Amino acid sequence: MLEATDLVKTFGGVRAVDGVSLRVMAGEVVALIGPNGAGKTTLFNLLTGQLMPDRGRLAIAGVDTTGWSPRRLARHRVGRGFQIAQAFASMTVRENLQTALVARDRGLWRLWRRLASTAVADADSLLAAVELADQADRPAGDLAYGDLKRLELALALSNRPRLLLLDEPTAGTAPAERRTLMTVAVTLARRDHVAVLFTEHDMDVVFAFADRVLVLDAGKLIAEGSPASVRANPAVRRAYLGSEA
Amino acid sequence: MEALIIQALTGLASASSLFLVASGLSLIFGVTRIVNFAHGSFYMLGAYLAVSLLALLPRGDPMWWWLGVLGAALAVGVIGTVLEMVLLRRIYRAPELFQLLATFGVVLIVQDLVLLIWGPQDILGPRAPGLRFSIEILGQPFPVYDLVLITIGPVVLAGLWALVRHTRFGMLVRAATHDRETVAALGVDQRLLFTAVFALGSTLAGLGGALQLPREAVTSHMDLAIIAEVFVVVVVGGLGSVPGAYLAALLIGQVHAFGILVLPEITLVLIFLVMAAVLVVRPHGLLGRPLAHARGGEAVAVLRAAGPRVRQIAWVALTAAILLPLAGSQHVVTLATEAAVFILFAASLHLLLGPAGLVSFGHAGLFGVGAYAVALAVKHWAAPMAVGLALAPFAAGLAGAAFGVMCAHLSGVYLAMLSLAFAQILWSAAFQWVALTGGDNGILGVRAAGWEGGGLAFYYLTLTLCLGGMLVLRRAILAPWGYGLRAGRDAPLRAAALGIPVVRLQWAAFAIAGAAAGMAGGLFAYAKGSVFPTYLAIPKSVDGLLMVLLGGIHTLSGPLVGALVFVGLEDVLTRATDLWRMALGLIILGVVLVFPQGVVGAVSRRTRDA
Ligand SMILES: Nc1ncnc2c1ncn2[C@@H]1O[C@H](COP(=O)(O)OP(=O)(O)OP(=O)(O)O)[C@@H](O)[C@H]1O
Ligand SMILES: [Mg+2]
Repeated sequence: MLEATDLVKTFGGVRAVDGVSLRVMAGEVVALIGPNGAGKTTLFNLLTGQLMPDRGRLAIAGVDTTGWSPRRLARHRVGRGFQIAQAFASMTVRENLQTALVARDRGLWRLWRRLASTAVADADSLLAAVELADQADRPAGDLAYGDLKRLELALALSNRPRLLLLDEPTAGTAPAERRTLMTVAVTLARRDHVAVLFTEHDMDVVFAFADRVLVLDAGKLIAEGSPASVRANPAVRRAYLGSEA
Repeated sequence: MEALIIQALTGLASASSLFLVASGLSLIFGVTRIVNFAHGSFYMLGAYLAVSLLALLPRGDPMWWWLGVLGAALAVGVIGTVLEMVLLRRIYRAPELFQLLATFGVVLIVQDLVLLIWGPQDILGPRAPGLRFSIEILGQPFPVYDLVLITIGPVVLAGLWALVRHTRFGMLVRAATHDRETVAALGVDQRLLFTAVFALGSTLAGLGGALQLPREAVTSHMDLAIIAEVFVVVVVGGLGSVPGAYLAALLIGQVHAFGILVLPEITLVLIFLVMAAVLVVRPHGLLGRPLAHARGGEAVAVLRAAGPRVRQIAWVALTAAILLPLAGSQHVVTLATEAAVFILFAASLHLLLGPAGLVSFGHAGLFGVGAYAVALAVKHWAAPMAVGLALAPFAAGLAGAAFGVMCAHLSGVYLAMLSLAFAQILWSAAFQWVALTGGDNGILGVRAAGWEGGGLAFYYLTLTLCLGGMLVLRRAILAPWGYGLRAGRDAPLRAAALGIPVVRLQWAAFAIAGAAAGMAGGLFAYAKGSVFPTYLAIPKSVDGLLMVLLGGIHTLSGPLVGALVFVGLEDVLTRATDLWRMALGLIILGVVLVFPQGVVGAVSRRTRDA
């Protein structure tokens, strides 16, 4: 579903992403781990078109998407969750999703019909899926961070993605909440045969949910394999020494 | 050939003056992140103060002349320092729009002070002793003073360069401009740094103004004339970059000099095109770098459709508006017609400022396009009213779309500065292109039989079109399109990741807001029976901003209430005092400092708390 070849991105002198190649199959849940500053977010930004790679190619669902804008990728049904949750603060939770759904259906050029009566059922079912139904009428700007992360996930899911890229979907939430969030994401993904790539610092979460783990350090992939094999890999232990348990 | 070289030299001399003013603005922006509209006022004050100071000093001695000029510059520096400490310090954390508006309040106050102290007539200052002659260059006479100016630019540039590169102060300035966290971490007294930079910047502006004495008459229009050009220079050069400002000043100075040679009417348009071209290639200006935004997200209220109570109030108000002519006062009908026009004007600006998050300081430009479209159609084709009122929104919608294509992708302050420059250019077109627009005398006789401004029929027509227009805008804001706009404003990255075409939606917002403003302008032309360049002038844009702010940006009824309050206030003020500009300026400062949420925002917050 996702195939990246030899991606490179430098900032000034720093090679934030240094020749990364990876594949994620449909229906596969892959974790990308690595110490702080390893280049995970930068890699995500390359995959979602927010940054242009200096070099390398990108193919999604069999189409060469190198150099596509985030908007075009969204239309290609790539869903994205941000490390720092980004929601529309001046709208209610439901309106956030309604807007996302209308955008998916290319309905934004309507100037007369009220949004209030548009895509309500779909919005509510997404909210129910991320267990946020009780907050539907609250302004997104007032949400607790955990709930904001749920909204973030719902927004990422709103364009019926075939590829879901989640940058630390559980960052900043309580340990119990992390599992619920990931359970929601992974259950939905498996049901619809979505390819998922996510980053995560909590190793328990990684080992509980990932089919496969990629390890990034200083911009390079240093290991790849099943959760158990990665856990046993000495290079991974070295990269994490001092920064992660 | 000789003439061309002379023209190029003249361009260099203008570039020096522009640079002095622009470098100060750029420094101040780099460090404080405030675009200081009052910078043009500093320039003007420099010129006026130099006139007064030189009148006190011994005449005819070059040393005293230069000391007088320096003294005026330093005096402006002192004024700038006081202003920073009294006003700007309080608004460093306020939303951009409020900062811009507050400094514009200062512009208004200074204008009235200048008129009060120096009077309305243009003043010719004493020229520099010893430099009053011209020399021959390639057989053409060229003023020696301009040669001196040409050298002052690079000298000041070198001085600033040395200051910024080799002193501790300069190190802090650079740090504040490019890496704000470091400065905070250095534990420097930021307040002192900000004040010092402001003092330096305003001194430079004052110097620029004082040095203009031998070149042109001192007038009370100098402030806005220079600020539009300086904005262009700073944007082209790159905000925060002093060498960039110099390069851009050279460029703009030359465009100016040669534009005048070719076709004076289009010089300003030419400048705008050059600027647009530069920004397409380098969106941050010639030497500018993307600036990290050091401003926290503003708390934004949720927009809601009107509740039952607001609906009731609206019906009562509408009934009152319909019955108003029964009061039998001509003045009231005229005033109410004007109020209706401004409600639509404010609502169209609100669409940009609020939901779209686009800070426009040139909205009157679009209003004026509508007004002039009507006036020209009536004058040249004796067009009937239906044609006029179709043409106005069409023409202004096109102008808005054109501006949107060039500028919708620019961020906050850039957009504010460019929209101001855009409106200023339209203004100078209306002012200078006398053959078409009648210049300062405007176009008179904009009438349609049976629909005279001030008459009942026209009042009801205006009421219908303006309130109807406002409701259409409102509806669009609550439709998917409006939500898409707000999505782009609230979280641009998220919006893009959802496939929302933010820039195109914003571009449409410019076109739609333009059409609505143009309709307002067209009606205004019929209401007054005439059009003048003041319809597109910057103060008119600021009137609009004030209406929106008075009402509150984040409410749908805000523009309506704001326009009513404003029209009432203006009516009272202009009748009560000659110093209405000063009064308006003080009100702006009051609004910005006391009601950062606007009047409706403040009231609805209070009722929600209660
Ligand atoms: N816009 C940028 N400009 C310059 N350097 C950047 C930029 N974005 C990231 N970097 C640098 O690139 C490197 C990788 O950063 P990135 O944010 O991708 O790491 P990360 O693995 O996501 O870290 P974290 O776990 O903290 O989220 C870091 O050294 C960072 O400082
Ligand atoms: Mg990251």
